[in-house]
Amino acid sequence: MFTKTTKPVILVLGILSITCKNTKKEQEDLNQKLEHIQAIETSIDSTIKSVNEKAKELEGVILELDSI
Amino acid sequence: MKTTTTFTFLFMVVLCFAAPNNANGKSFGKMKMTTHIKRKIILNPRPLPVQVRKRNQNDGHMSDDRIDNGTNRDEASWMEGTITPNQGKINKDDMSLQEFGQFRLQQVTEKLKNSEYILEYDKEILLIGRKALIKAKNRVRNAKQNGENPEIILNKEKQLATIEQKLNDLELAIVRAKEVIRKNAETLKKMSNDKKGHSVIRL
Repeated sequence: MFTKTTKPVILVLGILSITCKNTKKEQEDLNQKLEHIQAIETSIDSTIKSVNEKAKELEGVILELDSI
Repeated sequence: MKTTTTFTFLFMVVLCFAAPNNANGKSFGKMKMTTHIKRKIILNPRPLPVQVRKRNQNDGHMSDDRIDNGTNRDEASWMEGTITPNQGKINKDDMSLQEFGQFRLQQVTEKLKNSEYILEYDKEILLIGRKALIKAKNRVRNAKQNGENPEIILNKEKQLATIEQKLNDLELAIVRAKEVIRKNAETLKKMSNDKKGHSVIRL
């Protein structure tokens, strides 16, 4: 059915399609990983910001304590 | 010959579909970044380790001499992105997606470590506050025993109660933050392990 010339072409096409599929999956995985990292960063930022606000407030209040 | 032409045509079609990954002329290994991660990436400098505040053992007052080497909260403002980083911007286009992932992982890991320093600093403030509160309570109690105006005493007691509540809030926030940091550190550690289970990034 296939001539001598077509066989290598089919082989190349097969390899290429597998490579493309893997590359796409790899890219999706990496993008997911990046989103996860971003979420962690946001979580750290908001947590520390919240603690800092409370601590800053308290720094002012401690001065008040000294005058009581 | 006809079949060869057909397959060549199909080959070209496949190449056209594969092209978006290769649009910027990079190899397939160097994948193009998606839009959602295309934002300004700034490598924040790691702040100087927070010096433990010098506790004034004599009176418990807040004063500048408690802060060693002039280190203060402002140095922690890198977390809010208010400090211009020394290292400058990272050109994301120079990296492959894998390299960018590694870079982000390291960046967030550093941030996590710095968060621990910041929490230590906040714990020091809490400690100073607790000690100042005890002293203030003692002063109020003495004043009460010395027969000071009950109305003034009552006001002071109310003030003390409010401040104590703030101290408790901060303590709770620190405990929660530590838990968040611990969980995130675990996640990052898992993410930094390669397929063989070896840690890529030291945490």
